[in-house]
Amino acid sequence: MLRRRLRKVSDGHDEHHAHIETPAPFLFCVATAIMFIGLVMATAGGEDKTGDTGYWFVFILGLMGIFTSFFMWVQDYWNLEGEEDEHIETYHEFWATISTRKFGMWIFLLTEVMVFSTLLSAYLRYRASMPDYSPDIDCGLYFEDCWVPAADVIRSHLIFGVINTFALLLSSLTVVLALYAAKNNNPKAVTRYLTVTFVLGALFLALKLWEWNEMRHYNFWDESHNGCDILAGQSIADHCIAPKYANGFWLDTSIEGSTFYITTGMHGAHVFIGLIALGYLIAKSNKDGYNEENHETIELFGLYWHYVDLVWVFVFPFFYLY
Amino acid sequence: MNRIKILGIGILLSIIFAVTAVPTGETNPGGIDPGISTLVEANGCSCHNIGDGDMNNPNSAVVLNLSMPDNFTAGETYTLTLNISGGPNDIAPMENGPNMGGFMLKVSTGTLTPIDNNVWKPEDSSYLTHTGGEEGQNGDGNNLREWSFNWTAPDSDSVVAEFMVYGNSVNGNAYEESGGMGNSGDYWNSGVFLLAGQNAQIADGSDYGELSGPKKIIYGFGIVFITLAVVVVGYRMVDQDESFEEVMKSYWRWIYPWLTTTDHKYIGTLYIVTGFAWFFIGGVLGLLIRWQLYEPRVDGDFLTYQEYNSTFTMHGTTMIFMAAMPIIFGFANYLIPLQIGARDLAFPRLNSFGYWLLPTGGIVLYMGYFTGGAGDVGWTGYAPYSSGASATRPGTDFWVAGQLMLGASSTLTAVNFLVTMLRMRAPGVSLMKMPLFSWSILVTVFLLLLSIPVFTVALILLMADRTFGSLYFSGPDSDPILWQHLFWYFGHPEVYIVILPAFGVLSEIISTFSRRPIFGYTSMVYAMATIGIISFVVYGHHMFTTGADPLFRFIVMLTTMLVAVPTGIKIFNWLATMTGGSVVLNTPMMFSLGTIITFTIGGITGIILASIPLDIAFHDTYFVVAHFHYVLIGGTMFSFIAGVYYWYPKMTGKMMNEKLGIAHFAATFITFNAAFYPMHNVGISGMPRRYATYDSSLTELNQFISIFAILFGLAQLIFVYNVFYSYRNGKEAGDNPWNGWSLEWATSSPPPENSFIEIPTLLDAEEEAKKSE
Repeated sequence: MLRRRLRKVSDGHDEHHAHIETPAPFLFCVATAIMFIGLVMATAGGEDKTGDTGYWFVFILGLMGIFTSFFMWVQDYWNLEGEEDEHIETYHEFWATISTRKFGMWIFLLTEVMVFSTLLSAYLRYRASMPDYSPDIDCGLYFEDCWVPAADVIRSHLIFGVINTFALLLSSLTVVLALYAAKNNNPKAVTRYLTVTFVLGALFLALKLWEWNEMRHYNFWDESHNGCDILAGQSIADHCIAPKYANGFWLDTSIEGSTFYITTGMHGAHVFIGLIALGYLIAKSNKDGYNEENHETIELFGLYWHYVDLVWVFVFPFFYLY
Repeated sequence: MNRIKILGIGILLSIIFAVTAVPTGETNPGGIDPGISTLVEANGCSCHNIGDGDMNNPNSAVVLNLSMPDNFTAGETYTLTLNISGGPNDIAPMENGPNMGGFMLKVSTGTLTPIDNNVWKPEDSSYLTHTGGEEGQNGDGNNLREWSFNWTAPDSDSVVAEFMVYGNSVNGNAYEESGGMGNSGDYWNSGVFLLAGQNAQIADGSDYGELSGPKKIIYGFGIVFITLAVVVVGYRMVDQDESFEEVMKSYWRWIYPWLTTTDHKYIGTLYIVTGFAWFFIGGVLGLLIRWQLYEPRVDGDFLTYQEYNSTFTMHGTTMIFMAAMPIIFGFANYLIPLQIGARDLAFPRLNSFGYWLLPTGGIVLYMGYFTGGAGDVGWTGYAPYSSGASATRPGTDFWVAGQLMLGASSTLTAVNFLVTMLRMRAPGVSLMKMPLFSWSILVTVFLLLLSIPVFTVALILLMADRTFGSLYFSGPDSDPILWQHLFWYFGHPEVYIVILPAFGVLSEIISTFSRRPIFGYTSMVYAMATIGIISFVVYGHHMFTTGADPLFRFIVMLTTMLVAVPTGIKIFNWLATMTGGSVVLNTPMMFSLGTIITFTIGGITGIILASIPLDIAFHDTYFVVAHFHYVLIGGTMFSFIAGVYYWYPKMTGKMMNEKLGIAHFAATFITFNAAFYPMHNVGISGMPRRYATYDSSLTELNQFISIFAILFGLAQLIFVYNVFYSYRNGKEAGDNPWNGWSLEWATSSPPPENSFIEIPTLLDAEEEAKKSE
């Protein structure tokens, strides 16, 4: 009963396409609702409204439901023939230059442009409202009247941001190489390139989480350590960045922290979701191989991955360098 | 691997993972723990009766009294006094020591602190007790009957603090000769005292061990559902002589296609039915508002003021996101492929996903009602109230989470429609030959794509503030106006998203029932596109009173007035269409005419509000409420009801009852105008919106409004009855009952499973005429 129905009936006219029936979207939505209910109750429920820990069980259940539904959804594409079914006729030349699915991906990326525009706009709005930290102006007792950017906090450890940037740029290249390999009927190379992409993406996330963890608890104004002096400038090694970061730099420390972590966090979440999709591609590539007739999915993923990379190219200078 | 296996493994893994990965919850220490402090915390002072008293039975002769303020403010410290009377320590000559009494007190939230040495707080405990009872505790605590201490309120004043008090009335025989503990003949009693925060309410009849809100609802629904199921299934088994398996199979066979369909016609039907169901729920909330405003009321008279805030919040959010938009997507889903000659949408599974996010998202949105109060932040969710501690919790968080799901639904559906309409039109259906309803949806999805993601991000920032403590809107240096910019950048295009499809429906209906094509098709298309583009630069007119830059406000005023021009072009075109045609005045046409009249009035008040000096006076008054209900009900709702009357024959193959339809129209039009027109007057008189009460001089007008609002709600029952009655008993409709000429009227009613066996080609009118020669 849970089998997909897709009849192709040929009777001399065009092929009839019966509509497929699939429970995956319904289950995905139910699981999402369960996840959100669990998340909200776990963080804001309970008698004192600060969280009812028992609901984390519900949250994880919902999350696993989402993964299961995702697998059910892509199961239709698991067999190679699934790739071909989706060809849809176009009768108007102007719009016929790219396939339907690619067109859909581009429109989706348009919405993603709006997402990151909003995040960056909020950041710029706040950044423009306060002068940047400088020893020549009065920044208040805890430097609260100046903007002490994440870039100052990160500057001495910038190498990790640079490694991340290169990792992501390189991974965009490897995705394209995977696509070329598929077009040239080289299935093993496809799997290899996709795996390298995955490793680079995972490296990006691992470094980012490590960076975050370091910044979260570090004391960035340990006066006793070296006698921090505003005039002496800023130096992480001397624990001298800003008094307001004496208890770490986290998203509840200051607006600089909020904008930094939420924006880079949203970007990281997009990388994470990309990695999940990439996992599916690697599994499928390993099983059947993509070939010159069936490679569109790699291209669609590549578009998304390039976009994620492009966002990083904006986020990195805005938050890490400026 | 087949689907069942995946599902099974998924469920198994989920459960295993969840059980192992989740952090352990806290447990209350039971009675087996060693150590007196744990025993005391578990049993209070009842252990004093170990001697010959009854450990399990309190003695009602002992009276406990805890003095408390009326309610608490978050973070404040209060001095409370506990007094014990009655029982052995009232027997003469026991007035003053030794061993007069004892107590133990714990509280569910906040912190207790002793203020003198008659009270102490044992190490590693959170409860208070009297001194002098244990070795090493110096103090006179157990020689008193009254103790004072401090209590610091928690950070949230939406909670109720529960004080659990055990009191001991002692008879003074401290040590018996036999060496016993000397607690024979003591009496004890316990009591619970509730202290509500400023924004909390004490629920009636709350006792210990009550089930939580969600659990109650789930058990309640479960019991009702199971009972109904048993009755229905049992009846069928007996009456039709079927086995249990046969009955179950037939129900499953009926419901499974609805849960799994990707056919645009079925999904369209689901959207429309769901949309109208939520429309009625939102309507009930609206009637609650009007009943609250029937006369000036004090807090708690009908609704508490905070409940009222939740009511108008959920009313607005439900009407826009759960009623208007789904009905629009429903008609779009059903008709667009038929009108442009496509088999289905470009991404059918995504279509199903977009639909199912709707009921599930709605459930998440409404969970607040089961957890102490739904979101009470207004549908606009202004910071810093929405990001702070005073907004209902977790109701507001559910409000945010539900809308995240609904936003995802709209965005993905918009992607689907855009790709479909640009790529999948049949041969001959060029863009400038598409029906105007299709055009309206095309412009609408552009607006959706560009505005919903902004709102989604704003919601995420709000959620981050509430859950993770970030400082986007809630810190000392944060800017609440940022929320307003982000919200209204989405919010204004949103209202055009709900009106443009209504314009499309109007064009279809007016042209069909004037028996001629729409006057000025090209200008109609350009007008809609212009409205869509301008909608992004007018959002500042919701922020005229925020102290924004005067130049910004001036430009916004100009653009807002400018958007009336393309809208006016459309209205004149409809009128011109009717002037040159032969008009049929049936129900859909009457509703369309009603729309034009009502929307025009709403549009005029919109121009009034666009003027900055007038807006500064009318902002947040009932004048604004009147304006947007005129355009939303008059514009959107009337059009889509007309759409139902118009396309119902196509979707079901049955005609709706015309007499009931005209009665519905007359009742609706009259009661609507009677209910909402006076709102202009009360608004000009200064009645603020979102207030649960008002100045008593406006009482008569408000009563008038409330009565007609109730009648307006009742009038809709005619429509509901008509829909259900006609489904069973309506006349057969045939393919084209209205003699329309867009492609959907060329198929049967209802359309076959496969809408188009062959993709048709749209020919020129002359070629079409030649063909039938």
